[in-house]
Amino acid sequence: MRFAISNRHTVFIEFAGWLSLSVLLGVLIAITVQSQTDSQPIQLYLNNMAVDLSEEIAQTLEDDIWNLDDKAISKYFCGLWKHLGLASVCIRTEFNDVLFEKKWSPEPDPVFHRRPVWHNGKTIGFVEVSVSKDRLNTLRQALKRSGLTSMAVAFSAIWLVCLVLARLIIARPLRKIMLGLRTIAGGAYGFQLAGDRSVEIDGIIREINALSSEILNRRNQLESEIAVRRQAEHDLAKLNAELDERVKERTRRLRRMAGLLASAQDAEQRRIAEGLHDDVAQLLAASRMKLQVATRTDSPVKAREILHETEDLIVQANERLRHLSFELASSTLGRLGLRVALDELCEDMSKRYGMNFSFHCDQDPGLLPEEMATVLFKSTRELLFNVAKHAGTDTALVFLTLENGAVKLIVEDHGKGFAPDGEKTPDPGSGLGLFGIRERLQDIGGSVRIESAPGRYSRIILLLPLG
Amino acid sequence: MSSSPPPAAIRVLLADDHKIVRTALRELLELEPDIAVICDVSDGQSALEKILELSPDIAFLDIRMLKISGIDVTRQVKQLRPAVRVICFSMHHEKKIMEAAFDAGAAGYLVKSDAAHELVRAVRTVMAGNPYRPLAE
Repeated sequence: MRFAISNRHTVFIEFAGWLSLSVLLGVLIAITVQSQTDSQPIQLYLNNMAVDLSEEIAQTLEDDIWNLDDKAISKYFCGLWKHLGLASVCIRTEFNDVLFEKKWSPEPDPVFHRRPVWHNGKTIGFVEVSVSKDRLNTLRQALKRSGLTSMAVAFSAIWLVCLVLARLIIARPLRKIMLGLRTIAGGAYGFQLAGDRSVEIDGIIREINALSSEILNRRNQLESEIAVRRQAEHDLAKLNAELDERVKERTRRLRRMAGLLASAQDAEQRRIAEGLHDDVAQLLAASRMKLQVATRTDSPVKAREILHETEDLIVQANERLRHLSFELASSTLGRLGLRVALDELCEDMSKRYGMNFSFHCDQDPGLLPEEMATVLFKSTRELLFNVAKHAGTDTALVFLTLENGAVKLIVEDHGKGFAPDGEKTPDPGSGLGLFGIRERLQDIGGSVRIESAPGRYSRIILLLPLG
Repeated sequence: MSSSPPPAAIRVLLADDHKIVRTALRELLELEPDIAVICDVSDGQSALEKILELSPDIAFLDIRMLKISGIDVTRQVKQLRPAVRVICFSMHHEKKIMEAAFDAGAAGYLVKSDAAHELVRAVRTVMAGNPYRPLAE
């Protein structure tokens, strides 16, 4: 079973407890002290009484009391003696050459105290105060009671004051420290407690404040590190995304390239097929018809003439076949190398397109690996085809050399030129153009450099490292 | 290019974009005394115009020609001059191309490579009112 006790009640109960404990402790301390100082207050009491009496006598000297008879004096002092509770008093005073001696107690007591009587700085007599044994016991009891009570009250009060001071000096700062620690533990890092008058408490508070500041610094540092780490993670994710996008873009390009290559191959095959159909087959069909005419004509002269014409047609068909075969693959390239093949290509394309393609070779690279030679050969043919088709000039130069261990091939014309940045992915089926040339060269470790100025010239440089 | 045919001759028009083929066809047909090549042209549009103008007995039309294909010319000729017999010819042996020509209204189909031997036979077959298909079909 639990009782709900309010904070105010708690304080009250605590205070009552401390008060009871204080009183108890005060009493115990008083008893202890009293037992050790038992007889000292009696002597002090008698002394005080002697002092009081001697002062009283000194004052009465001025009042001319010496003219009073003994009875009157006794009466005067009687109330005083009774008041003082004395058992006996002995006075002997000499003043202005008059001796005054009185004694009120026939029975001497074992306990007395003598005190001189002073007047104008001179001792004029003495007062003896004595107490009976009964009176002494009574006094002792009274003194004991009053001293015990006083001491108990005094010690209780002192103890209580100490407690209050302890609460003020220790408990309150400690509560403040505790609240501060709870605040810090609650997440208010960097919270600073107010200082205290107590040096020790203030030292503790300073340590706590330093600790709180350190925690705040550590937390800030940690947050900063977390922020840096998050930023790094974000950057990494971004890089991954970019890389992923680049891979995707590269894949798209490869697919597009593959599609373009297939389209280009289809277009080339179609062109060759059409060449066979439109040129060679027509020539052969016409030749056959002419031979039929020759066999059926009656005129030998006519027949001979037709046979000559037929021979021309067959020569033309053979030439066309050679061109088509050359377009499929240059047999010269494999047998005699790139230099001779390019020379032949320039000559062939010059005839075919009515152009003036000249070839120059500075250093012959010799027989290259088939793939490299084929890529360079087909790239050159593509570039010359572009010149014939788009450059607006009938002249172009093909230059072959070696440079820093690489084959360098230049196709240059002084025609329309173009903006190099305008290089675009070609439409499917329209040939691969510079895009395809670049891709094919990059696939085998080469590169393409374009130098061109619209309206002035264009120079395409193919570089392909050997080995 | 045109010339005046003899009165009883079979009047033929040739349309092919290859001059050497047109020449060979003309020479081959002109070996026959009753066949006269009245005109030869190099594209489909000219062929159509000349057919409408001259109304030949037979029009040899190459399927693959500039401007208008031989099959399109055939289709228009059959609408505008139904009496003109059209023989389409081509380098192609494909059956679908031949069927397309017949669907357009052609009376015969000839493969160029076989023309040396089948040309005259095709003319006479078509003139007899029969369709002509390549022998090698």
